[in-house]
Formats: sequence, C-alpha cells, structure tokens
Amino acid sequence: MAHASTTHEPRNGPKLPVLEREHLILNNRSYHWITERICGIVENKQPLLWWLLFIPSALVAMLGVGGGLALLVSTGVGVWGMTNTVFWGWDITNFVFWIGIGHAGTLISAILFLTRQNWRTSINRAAEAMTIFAVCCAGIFPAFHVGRVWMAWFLAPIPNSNAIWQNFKSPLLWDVFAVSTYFTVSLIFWFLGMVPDLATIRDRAKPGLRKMLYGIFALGWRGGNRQWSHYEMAYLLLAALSTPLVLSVHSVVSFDFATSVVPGWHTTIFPPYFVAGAVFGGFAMVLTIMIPARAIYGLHDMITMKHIENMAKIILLTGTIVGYAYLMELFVAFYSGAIYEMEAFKYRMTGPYWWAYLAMMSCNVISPQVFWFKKCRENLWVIMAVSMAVNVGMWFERFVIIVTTLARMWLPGDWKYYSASPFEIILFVGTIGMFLMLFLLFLKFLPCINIAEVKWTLRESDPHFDDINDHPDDGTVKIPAYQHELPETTDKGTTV
Amino acid sequence: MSKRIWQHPEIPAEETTVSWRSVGQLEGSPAFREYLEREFPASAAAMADEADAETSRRSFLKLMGASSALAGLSMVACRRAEKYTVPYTQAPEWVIPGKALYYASSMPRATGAVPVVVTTFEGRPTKLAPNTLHPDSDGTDAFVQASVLDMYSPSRSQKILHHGKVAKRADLEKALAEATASGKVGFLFGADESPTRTRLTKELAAKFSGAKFYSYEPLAPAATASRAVADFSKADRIISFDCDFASLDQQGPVTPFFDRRKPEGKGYKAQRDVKSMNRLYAVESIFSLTGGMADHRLRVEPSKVLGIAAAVAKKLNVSHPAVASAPALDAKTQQWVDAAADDLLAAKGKALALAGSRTAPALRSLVQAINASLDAVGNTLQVLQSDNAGFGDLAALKKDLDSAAVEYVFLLTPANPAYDAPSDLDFVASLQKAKASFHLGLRTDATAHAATWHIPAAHYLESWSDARSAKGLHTLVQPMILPLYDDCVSELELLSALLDGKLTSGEDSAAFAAVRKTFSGDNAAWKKALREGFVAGTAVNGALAAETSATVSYQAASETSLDVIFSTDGSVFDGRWIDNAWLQESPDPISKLTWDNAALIAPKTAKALGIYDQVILLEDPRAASPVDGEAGNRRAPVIKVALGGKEIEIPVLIAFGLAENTIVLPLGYGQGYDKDDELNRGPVNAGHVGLVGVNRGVNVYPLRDSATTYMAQGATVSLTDKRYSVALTQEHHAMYGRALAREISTLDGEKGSFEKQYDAVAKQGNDSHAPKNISLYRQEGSSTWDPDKNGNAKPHLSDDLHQWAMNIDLSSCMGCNACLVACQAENNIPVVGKEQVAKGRAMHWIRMDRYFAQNKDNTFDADSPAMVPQPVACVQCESAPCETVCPVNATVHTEDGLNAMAYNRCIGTRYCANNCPYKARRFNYFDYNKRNPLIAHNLYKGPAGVTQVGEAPHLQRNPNVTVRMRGVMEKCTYCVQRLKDAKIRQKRGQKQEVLLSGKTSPDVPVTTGTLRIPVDSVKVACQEACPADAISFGNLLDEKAATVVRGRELARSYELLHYIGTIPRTLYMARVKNPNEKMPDAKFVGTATIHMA
Repeated sequence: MAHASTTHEPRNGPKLPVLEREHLILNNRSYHWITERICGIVENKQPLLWWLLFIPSALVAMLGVGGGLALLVSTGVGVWGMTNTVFWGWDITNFVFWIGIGHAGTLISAILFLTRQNWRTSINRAAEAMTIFAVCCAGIFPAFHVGRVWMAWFLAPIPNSNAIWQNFKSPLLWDVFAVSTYFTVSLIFWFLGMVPDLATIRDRAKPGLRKMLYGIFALGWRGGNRQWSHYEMAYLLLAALSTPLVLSVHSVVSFDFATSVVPGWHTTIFPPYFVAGAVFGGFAMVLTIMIPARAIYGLHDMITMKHIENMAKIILLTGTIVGYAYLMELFVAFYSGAIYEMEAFKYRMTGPYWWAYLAMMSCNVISPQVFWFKKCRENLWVIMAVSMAVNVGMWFERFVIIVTTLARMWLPGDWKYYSASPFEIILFVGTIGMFLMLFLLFLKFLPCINIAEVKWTLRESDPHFDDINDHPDDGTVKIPAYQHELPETTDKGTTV
Repeated sequence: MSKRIWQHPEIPAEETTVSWRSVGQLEGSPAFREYLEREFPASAAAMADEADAETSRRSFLKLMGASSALAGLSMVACRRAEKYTVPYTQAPEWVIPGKALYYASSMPRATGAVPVVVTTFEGRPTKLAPNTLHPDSDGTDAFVQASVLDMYSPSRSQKILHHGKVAKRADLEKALAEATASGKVGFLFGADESPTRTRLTKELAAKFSGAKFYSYEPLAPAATASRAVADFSKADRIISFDCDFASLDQQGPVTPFFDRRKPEGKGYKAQRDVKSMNRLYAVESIFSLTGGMADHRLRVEPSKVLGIAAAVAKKLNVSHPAVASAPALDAKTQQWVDAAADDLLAAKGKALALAGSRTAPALRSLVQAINASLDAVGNTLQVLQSDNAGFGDLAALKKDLDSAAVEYVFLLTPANPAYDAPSDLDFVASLQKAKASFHLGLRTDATAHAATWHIPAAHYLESWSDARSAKGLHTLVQPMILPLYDDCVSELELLSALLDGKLTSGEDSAAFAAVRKTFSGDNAAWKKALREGFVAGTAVNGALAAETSATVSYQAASETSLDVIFSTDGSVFDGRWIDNAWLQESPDPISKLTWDNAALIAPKTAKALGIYDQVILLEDPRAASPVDGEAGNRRAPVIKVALGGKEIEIPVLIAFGLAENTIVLPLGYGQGYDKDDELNRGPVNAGHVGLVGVNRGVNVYPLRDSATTYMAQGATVSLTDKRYSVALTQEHHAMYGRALAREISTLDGEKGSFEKQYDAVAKQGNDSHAPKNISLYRQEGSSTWDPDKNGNAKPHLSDDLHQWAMNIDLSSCMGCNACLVACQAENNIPVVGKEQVAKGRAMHWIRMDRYFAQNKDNTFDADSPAMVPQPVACVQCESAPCETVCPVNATVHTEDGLNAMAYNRCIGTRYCANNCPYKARRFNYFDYNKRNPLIAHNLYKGPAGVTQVGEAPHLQRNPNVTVRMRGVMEKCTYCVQRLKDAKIRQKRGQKQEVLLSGKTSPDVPVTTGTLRIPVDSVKVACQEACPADAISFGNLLDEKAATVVRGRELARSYELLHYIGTIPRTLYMARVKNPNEKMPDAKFVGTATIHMA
C-alpha cells in the first residue's frame, strides 16, 4: 500500500529533509473527484470526437474484418499474396504483431502488481483492455489463415471418429494452447479487477436496464471487508498466474520460428528477444492510445507525466534489448560459418526487402534512443512520435522475420518475391478498426481507470496519513482533502 | 396409443393365387403368418410391453440428448457426398472397376513413333508409359506424356464443319464422293511414317491417276527416300552442330546416349571408368538441353556454325565445297576445332557428327561428309528406308494447287499450314483455289478455318493405326476407347473412305481391317504384336540420300544486323500443343517461361543494343546491378524485331550462354487473341484456339520464309514502350556458392584427380565442414546405442520388407520436363493458369531447377556458363522438418519410409511448407480442380466463378489418387498409389500361387522373399518417363541387387542440403563432365560447383 508521506518526522529528534516523492495523483484530488471523473466518462454523453472516431472504425472493422473474412473463406487463401515459396505473409506478421501488443497489459497488471509498482493503477485497466482486444485481433489471423477454416477444429483435442490426436511436437499447437490460455486468464483477470468499479457504477445508476446490466456484471459486490479480503487474494493469485504467461506466450510464439530449420528463424535468441519486443511494442501501443484518451477525457491528474515517463523508460530499455538481439543475430550468423545463415541475414539487409529492414532498424533501435534525454521523455509530441514509430517498427520486425526469411531460403531455385494483396491489407486495416472500435466501446461502457485501486495510492488512503502534521509548513491546506471539494477542472486539466 | 396390427384378409377358399411372396405363403405355414403380421422383421428390436411401445417424453429426451451430445462432440458424418454407383449390366472384358488395364500402343511422330503402354481405367486412358518391350523404347518426353490430355481437351474439335458451320456427315460423304469422282486429289501428310498408310497411298495412287502425295511439318525436313538414325550406344565421340538431339530435334533413341554419361554404366553395374563415357562437343547458338549436356560447348552465331563445321571438316581432310570457302577462325576457336577434330578422328568408327534437321542443306551435306570420313554410317549411324519416299513438300502442293493439278486436297498433317507455312508461300491463297479442301485435325485451328471442310480427328488413343518407330520398326497404334465424339474420324478411315466409298468410324472403323491387312502374319503373331506393340525385324535399311551441297555465304552478324533463330518451343513444339494446358504450364527448360514465348537475347548484346537495363535485371547479387530481378521479371519489355520488311512485337528475356548478336524467337505461339489480351491484339482468330491457347505469346512465323526456316540474317531490334507480364517459374539462376547441383570433371584439376574429385563429391560446398549428424535418440555411448557392422547408427526402420529410396543422376539428367508432366498426369496435379504461375503458385510436384554457373576465370569464353538442371521434388526426409511442425498430424512418416500426406486431415496452416528446406510442397491456394483457372480472375470470384468446363478433363484423372480441394497441402509421395498397388499384387500373387499349387496355406511359408516386391519391379511415374534414365527408384532392403542401392553407394551420390541433417531418401548424383584435356576450355569444364568448397 502507498506510503505517500513526503517527509518523515521521527517522533523525538531533528527533522530530516527528505526528497519529496512525486505524487501519483496530482492536485490533491479527493476520492469523490476520482469517482466522479471516471464514472462521468461512462455516465455522460461522449464527446463529438468519440463519435468521429467510433463510426469510421466500426465501419472499417465491419468491412475489413467482416468483408475480408467472408471473401477469404468463400474464395480461398489465394486472394492473399502468398506463394509456394513464401507461405506466410501478412497473416502471421499481423498475428505476431497483435499478440505482441497484448503483452503490455498483462505485464502492467500482473508483474507490476506483484512488484508493487503503484503507478500501474492509473493505466492498468486500459492496458488490460488493450490486451484483450489485441488478442482478439491476433486470433483472427491464425484461425483464418488456414486453408480450410471449417476444419480448424482439428486443432482442438476433441474426440473424433478418425481417432487422430494432435501433434504435440508442433509449435503451432503450442500456440493454440498458449494463446487461448493467455486470452482466458487475461480476460478473467481484467474482469475480476473491474468488479468493484462495476459495482460503483451500478450503485450510481438509476434503476433500469443500465443498473440491471451493471448489477449482473458486478456479481453482487457490496464492498464488505470479507469481500475485499477474498477479492485481494484472488487478484493476487491471478496476478501470480498471469506473470509466467507474459513470458510464455511470446516465447511460444517465437518457437514457431525458432524450432524450424529455416536459416534466419532457427536461433536460440528468439524467446527472450520476442518477449522484449512484445513488451516494447505493447508499451508503445499503450502510450499511443492513452495519451489521446488522457487529453480527451481530462485524466491528467491520474495519468501523470510520471506514468508516461516510466513507460518511456521501459520502451528505451526493451528497445535497446531488441537492438542488441538484432545485432547478436547478425554476429551469430557471421560466426556460424554457414553460408545459408550468413546469406539469410545478408539478404535481409541488402536483398529485395532492404526497406523493411531499414524501417525496422530505424524505428525500433534508433528512435527510442531519444528517451535517454529527459526533455524528450517529457515532451508528449516526441513520445507520441516515438510510440508511433515503434508500432510501425515492430510490425516491420515481424515482416522482416517472416517474409524476408522465407523468400530467401536454402535453394535459390525457389526464391520468389512476395507482395501483399489488397485483401491482406484490407483485413489488417480492418483489425485496426476493430481494435479501435472495441477500445472506444470500452471507454464508453466500462471504467477506463481502476477507481478502487487509484484511490489506494492517495496519501489519504494510508492509515497513518495525517494531513495536518504531514504538511506543517503548508498553511493552505488545513482541511483533509477528502473533506474538501476542489473546483471542477476543464478538459485540459487546468483548474478553473 | 397401441401398436396397430395389420389384419390380412383371408384368401378366399376357391381362389388360387399365382404368385407367392415365399414358399411359406404357398404352404400357409404359421411362421409365415407371423411374418405377415409383424411390422418389422424379427431381428428388429421388439417392444417388450405397453410402456415400451410408446416412447415416453422422458425417454425420448434422454435418447435425443445423448445422441445429439455425441453428434456434437465427435462431429462424425457431418459431410457425406451422396453418389450412386451403378454396376455394369454387361461387364467389358477384363475390366475390374478401380483396377488399371495396360495396353501397348504408340504415338506417331515425325521422329518415329514413340512406343507406349497406356494405362486405362474402366476404358479411360489416363496415363502413358514407355513400352520397355520395344527395342526403340526411349522414355517418353513431355509431349508424349501430355498428349493424353489432348484427348479430353474441352477445346477439342467435336463436329464436322463446312465453311466454319456445323455440317452433317452425309454432306461430308457427298463431298468426298465428289473428290473421288474428280480423281485430282492431293494428300498432305505429316512427317510420320505408317506402313498401312503407305499401303493405302499405293492403292489410292492406283485408283486415282491424279492422286498426289505430300508431307509437311514445319519443323521436320522434307520427305526423302531414307533417313539416318543415330546409334548413340556406339558413339564414343559426338559433335553436334545446332542439333538438339537430346530433346527437341531427336536423331534416334537417346537413352543410350545418357547411359554413357554415367562413368559406372547403365544401372551402375560396373566400376567407374572414364573410358566408357562418351564425349559431346556442341557447336550451337541457342542454349539447348543438348548444349547443357555437352562436355565442350562452343557458342557462335548461327551464321558461323557452317564455318566451324567446315573447319572441322578441313582438319579431317574432308573434301566438300564448303571446306574450300571456310572462313579463317580466330586462334582460340581454331584451337578448339583442331582439338575436337583430332579427338573425333582418333575415335574413327565410333564417332558421330550431327546437324540440326532444320539447318541449311549445306551444313547437313557437310556433316554427311564428315560422317563419311569418320566411318559413321553403318556404325554410329543407321540409314533407314523411308515410307514417305517420293512425297512432295508444301511448295510442291502449292504449285499443284495453283496449276489445278490438285482440285481436292486432304490436309492430314498434324501441322497447321495455314498458320505455320513459310510466309512467302502464301499457302492459304493457294488453298482457296482448290475445289474443296478437307482438314482433319484435333483442333479447329487456322487451317481448319481456311479449309472448306473440317473433320474432327480421332485421337491416336481412339484409333487403329500403325507407325514406324525411331529405328523403323513396324509399331502398332491401338485404340483404348471409342472416339469421344461421334463425328471423329481417323486418317486411315478417311483414306479408306476414298477407296471404299464409305466413311466409317467408331465401332465400324475400316482402319482395323486396314491395319490387320498390312500385318501379314497369322492370328497368333498378330496377338503377340498387339500385346508387345511392335513387329520385330521390320526395319528396312536404305542408302543415304545426299543433301544438296551448294554452300551459302553468310554475313557477319552485328548489333545492327542480328542473326535470328526460329527455335522449336519446348512447350508447344511447332504450335500444335498450344491448347495443351500441361505443356503450356510446364516451364521452358532453359528460360523457365510458361504460357508464352519471348525473344531471348544474350546479356552483352542486350547491353550493346541499349536494352539491357530495360530487360530483366540480372540477379547476381555480387554484380553491380540491383539485387533482385524479381519485380522486373514479371514485366518484360516488348521489343520490335524487324526482318526483311516485316515486324513483330515480342517481349524479351535475357538468356545466358546464347551466342552474341543473335536473337532467338520461339515458334508456335500467337494463334489467336480475344478482347482480354494484355497487349490489345485481339480479337483476332480467337476461334482458332481454345481457352488454353488464346492470348498466348506472339506469332513469329510471319518473319520466317522458305529460305529462312531455321535462321535468318539482318534483323534489327528496337525497344517499344510496352511491357508484357511473363510468368517465370524460376527467378534466380545462380547457385550463389551453395554447391547444390554438383559437378566434377574427369580431368585432373586443381581439386585433384578425377578419383579424388569423385570421392569428395559429398564434401563440396558447406558440407565440407558440416558436423556429423547425430541422432538424438540413439546416440553413441547411450544405453540404446546399437550400431551396424560398420559402427554407424542403424537407420530407424519399422518395415523390414520395403524401404523406398530414389536417386537422381545429374550426370544424365538434362532438365527436360518429361518427369514433371508425367507426374502431373499420374498424380492429378491441377493446372493453375498464367496468373497463378506468375504469383509463384505453380503446382508441379517436381520443380525443375536449372542453374547457370559462370567461371569468372574462364579465359576461353567467360560469358558461356555451364548449365546444370536439378529436379527437386519431396526428398522424403527420414528426419522430416515438415512432420514435426504440422499441428494436426496431417503429414506423417510411413513405415516404409515415405513422408505421407493425409489430405483429408490437412487444414492448411502451411507451416510444413515453410519448414521444408527443399520447398517441395505445394499449396492449393484456390480450388484449382474445381474452378476454371484459365478464365481471367475467375479464381478470385470464389463461389461466383465459373467451374471447370465439361466433364471431359475429369475423365483423365487417376482414380487411385485423391483430387485435392482448396486449402490443402500436397507434394510428391513417391507415387504411393503405385507402391501400394505393387504390394497388394505381390500378396495376391502369393495367394494365387498357393491356390494353384493345391497346397493348404499352412504348408506354404510366408517369408520376406515371398512378400517383398521383386527387385526394381515397381516404377514411379517420373522414373518411368525419364528419357535420360536419370532416376532410379527402389527398395533399400534389396541391397546391391537394386539399382537404387548401387547408385547411392557410389561416392558421387550426395544428400541435397546435407548440412541440415534431414537424411533425405532421394539422393542426387554429381554430374560427371568428360572434357578433352587438349581443348582450350578443358580446365573450366565441370567446375560449376567444385570451387564452392
């Protein structure tokens, strides 16, 4: 729990100066303010901008995902651009891309929870939602890229008349289990964390359908001590359960490549490299989405520059790990002495897809380096630009790994150039639309910040908090914040 | 609700019924009364009591719940196709549904009939294989393999046409009677020979004093009294002048030539012996497959070939007018010629010179003289009397038509003279002068449209005939099926009609009687001939017909005055196969182009002409030019070729190893265009071709006249701003230092002696330092370690009867497409169309990789690369990367060592194919078998697209091979259906032996020997078809008795990509080049991969 006191005064002794700890919630916001602000988003009408974003993304999702899949299933995988050399293209690229996006959510909610990083509370709900939606988008690709999707149930271990079991040696099957487990656990974790907040909305709603629906999902939450005690234990256990999943899912995804015999895929560095890349890409996407949301809904007091800076630091760290992996791959290929390995990487850099490699390197390795500078970590425009670059770069990373490798394998006689067909692009754009649409719906219908947990981080939540004694030199605040209403803020977050 | 019991009325006492339901009724037995009263037979569950009789709501729900739960869980019987099978009311002789029947027959061709064995299922011919009983059996090339598809082609001509309109048979018979009455009839035959036809022509000549006979095929020489056939088994030294005798310009059976490319001899039975190998010198301007096989290849402009031949002749002291006028050669070439001539002379009596059958008479006469001086005739060259002696050529027919000496003309040639006749003849104009012309053909081509009458021809698999094989043996052509369409008539039927006045076809065919009459023997001999397909000892030797020796002088070719070669196309031949989808989709062996033709030009000449940068960017990553030629490959620039006042526009490709200042124009394309044509050339002659042939390539025949049937001089080339999409199956032409298709030389070189090179084949390239492959499971030192007698790990074999394996000997593989098309025919491989090939989705299970290897140090001719083909199909890895990654177990290993595909289990994740190092797997991106891929964008229309045309193409399918649907991966499985069939036959044979011997089964021991298929008795489709004898296949457990085992134990066999440790069952055997050390280019021969170590 939070120990938000800024000075520590021993009962008997001299007053020692202590660096003031940065507040997680700014402007001494009260419990009431937080509830009002977050529930307000759900309860009030959405700003015009929401509709301007929602309608196009819903349309894009419908046409791209709905139409794209209808065409794909009715016609054949041939509507995409794959060849008999490059059998995977944008499909698996997009799958790995979306799965990677999904990593930040669980990392924030589980690992940072276990390590008691309280700054996570302002962003974890949205990040988890992002995880769920990203995995939804990701799942579309492996499910529908197969030639006979109506036979995809062969992947599930259900009894069948042929008495054929799955091939447990196949990393693709591991994927099926890893991704579905990850999705299930993430969903439960997300939902469980939302129960107290759903109850809050329920309690604030007027009787009617709305109250009933929130009531159903609030699972009868009353906020009693016993409920809180059970709830916290359950949450802790789920966090512990999710933590290995964060590491395992992308490791398993990387096995799709690492266990193959394909030069450029067959490398032991893949699991950690993929996990780092996933966290990297995931945080970039959290920033890409949260920075505009924060501005639109005026959440500056809860999602502070400290949060954003922390995330920028993680991007810098993971980006550097990814960069190290890229260079290490090159070194190992050179050191292997095998012409196939060397040339696989040579063609990545200088072959027909050099532009993809260049995009990957500059976006993923070079662009985050600006975060060494505090000024850059504090400039939202720079952060937005870098996050966007990382999103693009991480997509290209997967493209480089999958396509450029397959296009230049062992025998030059089979080398071919692959380019995506419009239908592949449409489906990918459709999933972006679907992702945005789901996220916008989430903003409209669910509390986008964890109301309960954010309140824990307030100094007032500390049982030992003494607002008068903790502010001996500050004559302005004599009344505890929670007994005191502050004036409303504008959308820009400035006090009126 | 109680159960109703039907009360049967009593039979009135006086009534006597005449029919009974059973004897019981007659007897009125109590059992029968009970049976009548029961609603269900006794075996059906009887209701025990009243409660049972009515199903309660509870029990109903119980049952329904359980059954729907089971149905939902197991999802059995979700999809079951409803099909009805109807038994024969009268079974045809021998036919067992689902079992193949084999008949001997042959395919008539200009270079001699190809003896074949036809596989038929329920009367449908589906597949051709060479008839190995026949002494001239020579494999079957791609054309033969694909010819079966022609029979079922949806665009095949089906109706008699009169002036392009469907006509009645009676009207045709009237027209034939008119022709008979006139007597001034001309017959234009093909260049093939047929004893029965010859007999009938004599009868016709006797009946009609005005009957005249001609033969014409655009790419065959005019009929002469005799023809020379090479005997490659005896030829130690061969020199070829622009002669692609190995594939497109055959001069005799070629298998013996290829057998002598193996240092260990046919079947790898002997010790390696360089002296047993033959040596081939090729002087040529295009890069032909023969040139690719040559030990020494000299690339010169076609106009210089005569000069080179003259220089060789001079060295051999041949007297011939051409020798005197032989131009002086540069020192290097002279050295080449001298050394080659010396080598030929040293092998006098065992040497052979060959000239292309379309080259200038001067060259052909010079080569005759060289052969005479080398004592070739009677040794390496056999001269046969020709059945077609005395037949006129097309020019003679034109003259007779113009002078009205011929009023009625029968166009029976498989060629298409209205399209492919020399342009200066203006044959169509003369044809119009005839009172009536009758065209007999499988297609309604240009000639069919130009003729008054078109008669649909019966395919050779539908008609009785006979022919002469390459070495002149009387060979029979038997029908496998009645003609698919009632109007079809065969050549012999048409000739008989003129003799007998009655046009017969189908069941009443007069052709059988005619063929039987030609065959003079008794019925037993006839049956034997039918069974074996030929009559022994029927070849007639003749005297060599001398070619005219008047020499011609050529001007030197330059960039502004290019030499042109009108080359035979590897896919459509002279244009006759334009509607054959298998051939159209099989890549050109050299350029790898499908579905079109394109001009070929050497890189340096292209640079000099300033079109190099526009043309495909060469794909050598080490060169300064951009890395990939890929994007460029798909849109070839169109050039304008002007020659003798005529112009054509044709896309152009770069061709390595082509002579400089030469442009190659493949013949046979551009027969018709419709409105969808990419270059907007249509609609023109759209009715001349079917869906396969429409909009295909460019017609280059207009540039070719009587004097320039093979080559022309003085062409100019200019670039247009048009571009044309080309579908290439291979976009990269170099091995990039990877030692894939390996080559060694019999000469001692920098890598050591021949023996040393031979023994080090497996260590070439990256494999020289690949670590030993160690099994995870039975590692040395582990408790399960169980080594063989040599201390090596034993292979993990679970079937101790059969373990299949294959060898591909690159020493004799020339890279033709015979195996590729044979595989397509055997395994129901779909055609995907140009659009899909261009996307890289060709479905051929065998990918014919072809690599050029350039030796930069080659001081003789640095721009003349070596060419090594490498057919790659699934190599059936023992440790298969595809198997471990399939999530649903759709690709698994069989006990006899195959990497099997369970098509029904495959869901199409394509992971197997990504992980396949050989990229040997093919994915059905669309429903190629169901949707018609030939209509533009049809595949992309999904359910709204057009399905395949007609039933006919489906009849060709092999019923023992699954037809794959979309979304399924497929690949080579060593013709598993043949292997299974052989095993079943072996077991059944054992059973029959037991029955015949009268012993009881316990008395007959079942041993490995009785259950194992006899050595080398089962053949796979590619192996069977291979004219080069390059593929051996068999059972590893037969040990040294099996050819495949003898081959793979040789040191020159190697695993492709040994480095990965997949342990492939298909091994490759390095090519052995046999250069002459005195030749100036000797040390660069056979080094294509040796430097990669």
